[in-house]
Amino acid sequence: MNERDLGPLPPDVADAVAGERTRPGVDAVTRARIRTRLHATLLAGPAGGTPPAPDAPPASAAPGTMSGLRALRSLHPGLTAAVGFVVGVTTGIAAHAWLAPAVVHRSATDVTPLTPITEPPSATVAPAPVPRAVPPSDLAAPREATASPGVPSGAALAAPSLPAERALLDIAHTALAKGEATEALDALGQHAKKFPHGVYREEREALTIKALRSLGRTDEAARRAAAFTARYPNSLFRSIVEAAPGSNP
Amino acid sequence: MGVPSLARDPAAERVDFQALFEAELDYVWNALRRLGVREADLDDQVNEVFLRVHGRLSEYDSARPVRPWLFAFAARVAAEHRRLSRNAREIPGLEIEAHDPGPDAEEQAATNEKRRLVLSALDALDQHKREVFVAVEIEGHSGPDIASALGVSVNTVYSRLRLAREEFTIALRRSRKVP
Repeated sequence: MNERDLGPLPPDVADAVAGERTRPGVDAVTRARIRTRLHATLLAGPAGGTPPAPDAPPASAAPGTMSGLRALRSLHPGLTAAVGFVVGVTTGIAAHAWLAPAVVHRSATDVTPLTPITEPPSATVAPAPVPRAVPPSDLAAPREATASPGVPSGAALAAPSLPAERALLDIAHTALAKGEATEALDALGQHAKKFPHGVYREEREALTIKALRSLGRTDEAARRAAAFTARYPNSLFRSIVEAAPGSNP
Repeated sequence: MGVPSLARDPAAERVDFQALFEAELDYVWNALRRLGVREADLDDQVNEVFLRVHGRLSEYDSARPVRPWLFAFAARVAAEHRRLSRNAREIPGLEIEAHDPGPDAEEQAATNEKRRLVLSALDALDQHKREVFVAVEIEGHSGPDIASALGVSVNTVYSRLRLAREEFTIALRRSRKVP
């Protein structure tokens, strides 16, 4: 049997199905929210480590957090407090504030100065369930409530310019995915002009470096990469910035 | 839509995951919606799909189209989500179609109603039939591609599709008659 054997759908059904095919996708704010949350969860999990098992999660746990929790089990104990906090915040956001942006807490185990993302920086505290695996001594340490590097804070995600900023970066992302680095640079240049201190300027710079590298402008890319690493030592976009010379990620 | 190629270099893989996310978020979002995930749960489930994709990226065969591969993740996540009884049915009145700007409000309302009926008719299918109907009739994947992605035979896909078409048609026509 094949598709031809089945024949076409009845016209009224085909019409309804065609309407469903044009269902719109994700708006800019939702896209930013999902991206932020995914970044936070991946930051908590072992990016290149054990892949999450494909089997069904236990019924007692929330499906949306299962991969993150599985990743948590394989982490070094010394990182447990930080990871637990990030996963906890992610869970708390999902449970208590579906529309609220992610806020990432940093534990006392991570003492590297934070990269300022917003001007002025925001300090929003979200409820954070505490995983049982975290030793009490770690939980007792003071924590700074602030944004993770590369992740816009709550106040930043509420900025009115966010959709316009995001749209330009989405153009750049899509262009880079298609291998159209010049088009990506155009969009990034527009972003830099319109939003020089924008929420996503860190991501913009990372994408610019990627685009320059794609165009073979390696010296310029290397200079900007060095400046980027100095300015954003904990950036989530380091994988882009630090890609091997000559690679075209 | 352009589909990003996935390199094998570990550093490049991380980067390509980002490109994949940016290029295919809409696809995954809508696939999950069609597979029965409620609007209010889409954030959670999209996150879960991409976490699993991230963990299995090295297994992706770049010679094959990426969307059927992504669809298999979405189908598994949606099935697990719906297995929880509280998620099995959409609660009437919670449908959100706010982010679909259109020039004509009446036309937009008609389109939204049509989409609502389609989702409602999809609810009449069991999960296996729903997966193949969504994959082939709505997402436009070929039978062999989706058979390979779901790990079933091509005959199984077409057998399920034939039954799914019949049941979907009946459900859609019935729901139109209900005011």
